[in-house]
Amino acid sequence: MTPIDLIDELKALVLDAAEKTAPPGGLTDDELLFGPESRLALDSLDALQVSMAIQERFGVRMTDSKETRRALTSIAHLARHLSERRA
Amino acid sequence: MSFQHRHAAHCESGVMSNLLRHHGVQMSESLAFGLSAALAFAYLPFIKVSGQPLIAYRSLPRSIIKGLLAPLAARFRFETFRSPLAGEQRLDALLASGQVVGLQTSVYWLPYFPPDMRFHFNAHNLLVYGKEGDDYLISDPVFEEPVRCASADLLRARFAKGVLAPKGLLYYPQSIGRKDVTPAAVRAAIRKNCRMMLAPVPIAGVRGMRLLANKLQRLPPNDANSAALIGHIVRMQEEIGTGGAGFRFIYAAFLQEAAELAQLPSLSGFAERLTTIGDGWRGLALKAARMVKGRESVDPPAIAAKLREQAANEEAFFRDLKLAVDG
Repeated sequence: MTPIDLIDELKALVLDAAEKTAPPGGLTDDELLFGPESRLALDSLDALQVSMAIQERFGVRMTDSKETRRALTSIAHLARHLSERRA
Repeated sequence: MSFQHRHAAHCESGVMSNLLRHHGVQMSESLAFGLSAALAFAYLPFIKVSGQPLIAYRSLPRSIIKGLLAPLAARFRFETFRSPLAGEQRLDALLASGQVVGLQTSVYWLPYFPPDMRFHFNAHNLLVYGKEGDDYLISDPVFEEPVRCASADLLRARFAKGVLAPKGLLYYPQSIGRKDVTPAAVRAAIRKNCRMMLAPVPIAGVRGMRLLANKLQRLPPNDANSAALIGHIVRMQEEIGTGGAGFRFIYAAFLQEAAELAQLPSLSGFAERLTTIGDGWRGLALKAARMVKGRESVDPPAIAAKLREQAANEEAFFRDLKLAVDG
């Protein structure tokens, strides 16, 4: 899977797992995913759902809720995190 | 001062791991957690957090620090203060003498936490290893890198009011008698944790899980309070410490280390089994989260059934683990 394919797949996975619709213009690679200032405004329960979906899809277990929050800072950050964990 | 910060999953086990390594003890976070027999479940309906009962997935705050004293023949000094000024002066004096100092603080008042991660939890542990100008140099194990905190902010975090108020608590080692971990200490810690999880106490261990399941079973699905309690369960599991499943994963890593330390290769299999149980906790949290978010209908008996399943799995696990260590 190329880095671009991974980014695209992660965007779809995050939206699907958190059951959110894509914001206008679609998610960008570097935009914040958490907090009131972000367009998607994910919370800890969304993070749990996304981490479970990642475990199912990529076989990467994100065992620590704070680690998951850090990995989910942005789509690009998540892609780097997964690439490192799968290396 | 030369101090090596290492990121950890959970604050108290991370603090003790970093502090002991600073003093020459090879101590991973998972070893600190397991050696202090810190895995737990407790349902404490008489202690309220945001109006809901306290549900804990690890032992009481400070039990990791205190639980490591006997295995390492260590003595720690713990100090609390009536006045913030006295607490600040004592911390500064200890830093000036070269001590790395552990503190209990409130997450809510630490400005280096992102605003959406702050909440009123008064038992967050961190280490202070120096002071530059008005800034304390802090090793907060749940952060990847060391951080800084202005003195007024740290003081507010140390003297926050409410449940588990830290009262300026600081701690540091006075002596550490042994720098290695013996097989006997590892076995004793595992036995202790098995006893705690199987204790004949209705609010603790697997019995505590069943007591909470019984409470859930009786909740009316359409009552707003039912959804509130389910939301509280998942938040206590996912937002305090490293998540209820997270503590199971840390203990699994300990068992993996213990297999070698205690010369009990069978513990590796128990590590894998506990990881699967941890996945079960996350499955429970996921189902609860979907109900809270309105993505599934609120069904308290379904959560109760998952909780009973976890209780059955953990009961069998700890009975077998006890046999393996005793044998």
